[in-house]
Amino acid sequence: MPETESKVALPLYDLAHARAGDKGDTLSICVIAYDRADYALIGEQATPERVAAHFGDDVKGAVRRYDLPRLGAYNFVLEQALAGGVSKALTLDTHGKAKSGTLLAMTVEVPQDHPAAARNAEDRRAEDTSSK
Amino acid sequence: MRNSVRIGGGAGFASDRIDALGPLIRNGSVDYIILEMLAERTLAILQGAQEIGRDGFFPSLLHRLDRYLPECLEKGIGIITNGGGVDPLGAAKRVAETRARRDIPCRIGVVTGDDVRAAILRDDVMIPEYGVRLSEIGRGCISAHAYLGSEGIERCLADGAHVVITGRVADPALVLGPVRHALGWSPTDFDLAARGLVAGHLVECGAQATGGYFADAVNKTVPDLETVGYPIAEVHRDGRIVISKPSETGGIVDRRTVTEQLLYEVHDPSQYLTPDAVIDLSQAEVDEAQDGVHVTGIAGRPAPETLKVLVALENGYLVEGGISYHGPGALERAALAEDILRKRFKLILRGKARDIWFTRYGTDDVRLHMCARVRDTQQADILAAEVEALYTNGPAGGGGARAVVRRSLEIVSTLIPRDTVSVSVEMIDA
Repeated sequence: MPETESKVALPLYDLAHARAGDKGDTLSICVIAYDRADYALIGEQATPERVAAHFGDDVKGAVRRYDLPRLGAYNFVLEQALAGGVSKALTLDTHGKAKSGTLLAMTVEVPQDHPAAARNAEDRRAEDTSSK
Repeated sequence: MRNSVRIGGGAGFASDRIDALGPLIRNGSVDYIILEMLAERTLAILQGAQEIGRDGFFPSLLHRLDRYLPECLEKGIGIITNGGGVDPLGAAKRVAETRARRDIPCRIGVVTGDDVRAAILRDDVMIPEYGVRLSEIGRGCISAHAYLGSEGIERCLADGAHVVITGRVADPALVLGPVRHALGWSPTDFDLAARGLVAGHLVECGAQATGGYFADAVNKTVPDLETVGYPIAEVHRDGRIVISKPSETGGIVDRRTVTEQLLYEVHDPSQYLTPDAVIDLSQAEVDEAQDGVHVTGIAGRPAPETLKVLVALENGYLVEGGISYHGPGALERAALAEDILRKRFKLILRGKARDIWFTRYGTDDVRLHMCARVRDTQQADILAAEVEALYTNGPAGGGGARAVVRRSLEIVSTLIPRDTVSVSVEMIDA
């Protein structure tokens, strides 16, 4: 296990963008690294197991991940994830279109000297000053 | 034979922006425009409409063609659409009857054969999601349509059609048809088929390739989404794909927008099944260039021996609505409103509500949202009235009570042998 002391926790949102799609009760979400340099780091941390845990009870079936290194992308397929699918679900977001945002809220750890860590710290400082 | 063909994605669903067609026609230098108008539930909804004497296709198809068909005919731009819904022939006849500018000849090709309801009832097919035969589910089958491939579209184009109207076809087949027709590709070259299909996959959702369903106002900023340009796929003879958009439109086309759309609704990227070919996206590459975004590395294999069928089953009625609370204790009041509704529904339905779902949004300004499925419209109307009754019978300060009732259809899928389906084409000289 690598030491976590020199790591900074960020939302996946800071490193990648995502889009959700639906077919029946199966939700698919592609996650694409903004910077190819982060591709491996995202892959190490956004494992199918962690993604399944992140969604918790909302996903009743298997979570699979397909790797597309040439695109800098991971494609997650989550089964029984849409409360029966668009034609059955009683939820508001029957397509699960908002769940790309849910996935991007998952935390990943980056080294302290990672550019996104610096950006994130700057944003937080700006928020602190604006809320005073 | 030409070296490339340009195809614009002019609609991603039935209610998509109609005026997006203008820039595609005027600034897109396109040879064809596709209009994809059928979501998974759409045909069942149209079937229901037809049963009560309405059209089996969307008025928005007619609105689009009323406004833009003359210009397309003048410029020699072909139109391919699945907007025929459950009545492609009826749609074609209506277009023929109502079209203006009759001085320009217009030949409409109609593709049918996707309606397999009689066949699946006769064979009492297995429904994998339930693990039983259709009759054992014990609910009315409203409609059943197979996803057809590009064959019918190609036949119509070969017969001189300016407009091709279909019912259910696989969305990317809307593009493979005209691409194969224009480039004279062999039907047994599956790598090329897969490339034509990927071009279709990239443009069939309209603005989803050009900055729509993409912008986040922070990391991914997109200019002028109010005038977003719809996508154009230029497909070359060797299957290279270049994605762009018309000049003088909003939105963006870059590696990021195209990659998101490339993987949209894909499960296993190495085997994306369509009726025309199995697509392998696993080695795909997306690169930005001067003339647009290039997509390469697509491979294909022969199509599966079965066709996917979407079956719509009766599923009662949905009541959906809610009420808002604001200020101190808003959450507690919303929770109390939920409790009252649950108890009322139980009293009224004597436990007959099949499913009820509640959620609360916000903390200080709270919206209680509910959705319930019941057996018939009468029950649905009673429950809808109960939401409004919270004004005077529920917690203090409840506002904005709303409830709507709609028919609920369940969509299940199954596979049938290809030879169950026979594709027919018909020509109408309008």
